[in-house]
Amino acid sequence: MEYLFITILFPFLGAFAVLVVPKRYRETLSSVSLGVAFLASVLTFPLVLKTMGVLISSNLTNWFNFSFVADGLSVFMASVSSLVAFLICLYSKEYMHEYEERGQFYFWMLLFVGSMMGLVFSANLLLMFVFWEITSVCSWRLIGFYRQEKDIKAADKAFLITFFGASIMLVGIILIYLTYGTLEMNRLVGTPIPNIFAFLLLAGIVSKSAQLPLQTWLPDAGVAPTPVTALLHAAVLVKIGVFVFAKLFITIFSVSPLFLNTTVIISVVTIIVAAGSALVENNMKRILAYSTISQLGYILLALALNTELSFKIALVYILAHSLAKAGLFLCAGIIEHKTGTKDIAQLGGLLKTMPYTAAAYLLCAFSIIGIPPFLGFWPKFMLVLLSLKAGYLMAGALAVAGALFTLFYLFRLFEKVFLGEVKIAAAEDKKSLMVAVVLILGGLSLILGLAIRLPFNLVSAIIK
Amino acid sequence: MMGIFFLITLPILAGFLLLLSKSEGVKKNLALAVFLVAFLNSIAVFIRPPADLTVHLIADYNLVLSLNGFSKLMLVFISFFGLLTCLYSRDYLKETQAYYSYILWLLAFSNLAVFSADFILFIFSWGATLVLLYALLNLGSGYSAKKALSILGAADFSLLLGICLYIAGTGSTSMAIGSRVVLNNPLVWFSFVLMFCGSLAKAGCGPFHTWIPTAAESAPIPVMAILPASLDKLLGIYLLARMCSDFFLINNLAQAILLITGALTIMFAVMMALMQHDLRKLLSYHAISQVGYMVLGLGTGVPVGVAGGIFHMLNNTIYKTGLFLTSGSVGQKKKTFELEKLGGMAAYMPVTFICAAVFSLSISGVPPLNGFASKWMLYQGALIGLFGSTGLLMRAVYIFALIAAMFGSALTLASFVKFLHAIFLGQDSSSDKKSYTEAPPSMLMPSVILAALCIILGVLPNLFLKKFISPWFTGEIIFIGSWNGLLTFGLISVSLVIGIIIWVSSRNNKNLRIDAAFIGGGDLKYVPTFPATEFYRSIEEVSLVNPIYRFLKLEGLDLYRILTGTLKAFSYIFFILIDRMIDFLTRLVGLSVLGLSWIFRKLHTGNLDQYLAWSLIGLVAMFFILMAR
Repeated sequence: MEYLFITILFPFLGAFAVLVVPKRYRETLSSVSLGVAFLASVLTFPLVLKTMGVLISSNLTNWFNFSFVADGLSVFMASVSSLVAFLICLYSKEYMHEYEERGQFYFWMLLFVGSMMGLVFSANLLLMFVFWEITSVCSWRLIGFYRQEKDIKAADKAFLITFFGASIMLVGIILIYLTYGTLEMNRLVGTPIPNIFAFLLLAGIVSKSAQLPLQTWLPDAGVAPTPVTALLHAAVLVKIGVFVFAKLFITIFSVSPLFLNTTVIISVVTIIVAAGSALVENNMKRILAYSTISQLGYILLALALNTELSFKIALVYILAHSLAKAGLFLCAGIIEHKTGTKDIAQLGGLLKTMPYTAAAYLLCAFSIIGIPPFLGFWPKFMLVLLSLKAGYLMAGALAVAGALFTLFYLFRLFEKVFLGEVKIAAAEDKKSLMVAVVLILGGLSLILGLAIRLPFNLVSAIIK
Repeated sequence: MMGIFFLITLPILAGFLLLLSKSEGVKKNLALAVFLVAFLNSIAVFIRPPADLTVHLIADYNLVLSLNGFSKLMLVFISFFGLLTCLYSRDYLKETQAYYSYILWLLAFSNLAVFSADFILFIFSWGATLVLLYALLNLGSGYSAKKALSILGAADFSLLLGICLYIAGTGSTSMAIGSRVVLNNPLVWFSFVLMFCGSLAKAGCGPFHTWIPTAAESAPIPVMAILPASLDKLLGIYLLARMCSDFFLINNLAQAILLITGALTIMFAVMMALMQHDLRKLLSYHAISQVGYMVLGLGTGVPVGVAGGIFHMLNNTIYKTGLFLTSGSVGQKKKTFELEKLGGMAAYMPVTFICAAVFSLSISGVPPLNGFASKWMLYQGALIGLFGSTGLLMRAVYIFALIAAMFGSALTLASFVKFLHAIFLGQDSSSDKKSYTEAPPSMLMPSVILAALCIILGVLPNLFLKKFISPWFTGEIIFIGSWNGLLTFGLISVSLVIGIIIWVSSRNNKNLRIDAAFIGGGDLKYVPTFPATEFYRSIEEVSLVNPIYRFLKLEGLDLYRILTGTLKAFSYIFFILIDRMIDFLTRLVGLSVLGLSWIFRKLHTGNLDQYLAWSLIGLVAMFFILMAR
């Protein structure tokens, strides 16, 4: 159980330590604290495998407690998030090299990871909401990191939209307290909740995971430094929404078919609309952001099917997407770093000088599209199969159509950036930690896809 | 069952090992050794009795590997063509990069695909071959690789949806559930059509073929020989054959779809082939056209026709691979693939010429070669189908298919006369009059082996059918016309020998006088030649076929363009009408909040009288509200 606290506390401690230690130790310190958090979260697995989950609670009041739970879902999310966070922290060292305010950057990044860990382990709705809002604040500060007019506008937009959703969710939480007299999750297990409560909570989820109609903040958030986009707006922060969906509506409350069907519709519309938008955009990071929105739709769809298998599928999907999408964003970051532009119309022919980045991009892209033998194939295939079996024919067909869009927009990006004539020359991409990180992410997408039994059995073992 | 594991794991591991090696020699030799072992192993597996192997995958899904007659046959052919291509590549490719790793993985995943007895494993390995196709074409050019990936990726997703629908319908992921699904409701039809598209695209049948000619322009010849010419064909037609014989109970309408698709592909592709000036594009259009025969054969629904389709698949792979390889040898010498610039190569490369001639005659369906043997079965299948069918419409379809098949055969012959003429006969039209040497043994050997196979399978088709196809084929193969390959071969051999004797004896004829041309008092400097392509250009101008050509050459008909165009159109609709609309509304909310706060800000003037006035208004309002209650 002490590992759980290490997982939560280390990023927080690291965040405050970064502000005081000498400048040259900042990077090492951040990486170490994230590495420790990752190891600690991995070490929680044996605990979860043995038991149904462990709960610690401070027993203060009915409505607020420092209660934490380590169950399969939270441990899984924590280890995936901290792994990606650790890798992105390594990447940041080189990427953020020339910016002066690196202390600020690492402080907010670590604070975010800490509150993410707190959020996934929370066993009290209000505590969860507190961490939820801390992540929003971190996101707001990090999007506006460069302090330009447009950055601040985008940051405000992101904060306001997610805050709008969160406040509706808060109303739902309050109503739950008024009706059931407690906000402790373990006491609410199995409670059937009215549709109206569920929809209020869903508003927060939709805004955080950037699903239609509250999705517009995510493409704009691409003005943030690339490590931020990769960590917050592709791999971790946006997964909070789907995580809370899984936590609340699958493991705790029981909800009506009407609610689930509505979620299916939202997710499918998001998949197809966002994928279409990605094919239109010309900014690398906006394309990838739309792709994230679309892929989150798949995860939400899997959760909304609400079977045991589809739940596991959703978790594997989260893993696959976190690795591959972080990889894609980081590739885009390398390109932006070397050429100074995000506009694909101005790029071309980078394959010659950046073959490793191109290879990593392809590995990640194949995984996101869902082409065997990459990791992304399995959850997508199972998802289509399960939705057809559950009778959602249209959802299954549109999920496949979405995959087709994905194929086209990711290869359009590849063609524009890496093929054709060289427009802006870029230096070679050898011997760089950044390239090593994207290659690791791409390699993991392939290896875990070949050895699908490994992640799937892990998920099956911890979900009971 | 260890043999199967070996066949799959060995190439995968070897592929990874080769990535580490920098030396070209190591790559070549190790890859060849692995292919040789795989081929020998596949023969060993072939002899063994059928068996099944189940491995638990995830949830309640299992992976089932099955060793039945059809998959064993496919296995031998896959390893065989892999081996020959690998051998050929030794001297053809100078810079290989990861080529050998890719083809080793391709071997592994193709093997896995034909071994799969459940859909999950099947679609998994099927998709993996697509990634490898992309990687291999990328060695040529990025655009052609992307085009191929787009078309085949779309087809694979359609296949995936079709398979998922099929599984949802039958409730089992097994590919051999014992009973066939009847095509009687829209969902089953939908599933059938989606899977049909997937198999056609893999095999390179129209209208999914457009990536092949594009790829041919830039991809290295061995890549063309191993993928569009052999492995992709084998896999695509394998799936289609399984669909028709194991998954679905094919009815008349489905048959008609198959027959018409096949017939149209045969005709249009061969017409396009006739017009090509690039050797590789010519061959790739023929690769497309030949698929039409296989689809047509499977569409006849008659055992002899279906067996003919499968037999034709194998035969086509043999001669088409051979054609690509011989063309590659010539192209490498001349450093060009343009038909106008080639010519007279028979003098320098006699063995290559003889092999190419055998392949050309075989693809044109000239007896006693293997192309004829399988086409003969196809015709019989179509005829039996024609006489067996009752509906007038169905008969018309059969007749149309028969005519298309024969018409296609004739045009194929015409096209290959041009092929032989342009490359090997005629005069060397290029400016340099240097002499060339025969291709090295490593490049010659595959062609010779394939040419020998063409003759053997052509002379003894019944033996092959009896030994390799009948044992697992459901339904009895009955011939309506008798054909003795051996007798014909004997007669043709005799006439060839007589011909050679006449030629040799007349060579020493003293009565023949050769003189310089003398026209109008001077020597003729200009030797009149005409390129082989010239004659065919005039065909294009014939008024009857000209509209067809103009139709076929329309760029807009390229599936790739249609696909990208449609997706683009939808994208703009989604982006502007939904995404940007929502964004606009969000901004509108933001702006209206700002506007409201602007109004309220203006109210705060700091003037005490105004605040008092507001209070008074408020009081009055409260009074009225209270009174109203």
